[in-house]
Amino acid sequence: MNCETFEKNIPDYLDKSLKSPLMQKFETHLQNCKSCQKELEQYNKLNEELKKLPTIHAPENLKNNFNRQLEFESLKISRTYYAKMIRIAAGFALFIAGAAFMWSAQKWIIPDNSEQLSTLQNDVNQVKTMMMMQLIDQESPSTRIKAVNYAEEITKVDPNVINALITRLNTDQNSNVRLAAAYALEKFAYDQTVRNKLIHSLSNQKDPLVQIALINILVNMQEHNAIEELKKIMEDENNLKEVRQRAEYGVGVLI
Amino acid sequence: MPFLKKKTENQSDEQLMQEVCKGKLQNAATLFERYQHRLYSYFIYLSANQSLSEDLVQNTFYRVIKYKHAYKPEYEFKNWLYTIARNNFYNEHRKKEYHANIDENTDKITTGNDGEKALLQLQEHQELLNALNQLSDNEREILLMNKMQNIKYEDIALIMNENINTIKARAARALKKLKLIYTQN
Repeated sequence: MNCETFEKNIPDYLDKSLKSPLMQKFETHLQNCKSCQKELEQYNKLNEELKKLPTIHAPENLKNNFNRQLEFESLKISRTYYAKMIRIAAGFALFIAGAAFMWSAQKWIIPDNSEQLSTLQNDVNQVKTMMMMQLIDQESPSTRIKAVNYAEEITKVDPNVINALITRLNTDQNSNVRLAAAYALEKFAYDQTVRNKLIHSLSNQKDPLVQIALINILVNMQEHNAIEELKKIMEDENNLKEVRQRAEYGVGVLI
Repeated sequence: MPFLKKKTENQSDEQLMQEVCKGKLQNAATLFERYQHRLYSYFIYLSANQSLSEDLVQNTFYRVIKYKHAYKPEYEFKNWLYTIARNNFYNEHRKKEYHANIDENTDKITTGNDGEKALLQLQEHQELLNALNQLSDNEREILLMNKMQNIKYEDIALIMNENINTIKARAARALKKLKLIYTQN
């Protein structure tokens, strides 16, 4: 074995994966060649030092951030579940109401269906609004979240509903409720007054997930009045980097 | 519920991940704890950038949850995780410059409980780290995975989707190049 071949085999030797007869030839050359001995020593030292590179501990907040994200993802899944349940319940209610209507209509001339149906829809909306208003102040955060989700199913903009959601968005102690409120309000963001309230809320938000949610909603709605607020967020160093980046992106889209 | 917690601790990565796929997202927290420091180190040594490394760890695990449907029970979790991790690194940040002088960044690398200790340890290895930084991302990566993180070549081959002999050859070339740079200084 010559020195060039020797050097080629050093990595495998260090990994202890050099097989005979190559291994024997390697060791023989090693015993007889001083410069290769030195070469191997240098490689070995390097190899060992690489292995000794320390594991650097990730900062504490990484785990906490991830756990929050997990909560949020779990919440998204249960939101879909609740939404499905409400849809089923509402569908059932409409069916019952419809069946009752059909039975009573046999006695009179059948009136225009669409008017009756929209009355029924209003009834369903009213029921939902009532339920929502009742549940939204409850002590348990998951009940409040249920209430917020009811709101998403209400088809007409009711100022009481909007205000209840805004209150939750701005003042609820639980960040998941705040976030759920933001997403519920998205459904009503076609309304200018709602958007104005969202902008106002954004200026007081500290919670990064909520900040990002609100920024996304306002940008999606092409709300140019939000530009001022987005610029402030971009420049405020107290905000999380992701939030500032989102704001910057938003400004870019809106301008 | 202490006995439930113990159960998670005894489960393999693969078992935990399969349960994540069935909807038990909470298991991802255990997996996160098991791998966060390793992944963080991997990114730090690869990029020499603390805040980027934090983002990458979080993004990687976020993708673990988001793409859980792509995980197959026959995959070794670690390999799947590292595949996501390095894809993350290359996809999002390929265009940016990372070969910053390690001196600038060791100041920023103060973390967790061993903050100061980690800093001191890094300073000990500064010459090696400087030499490592002069390798290409791919060369540096292979050496980090095999030597520092103790990942076998078979697994690296799976992670990088390459033939194992190709990986070994690259590792040998990388080591040789590293030695040349290191001994020149």
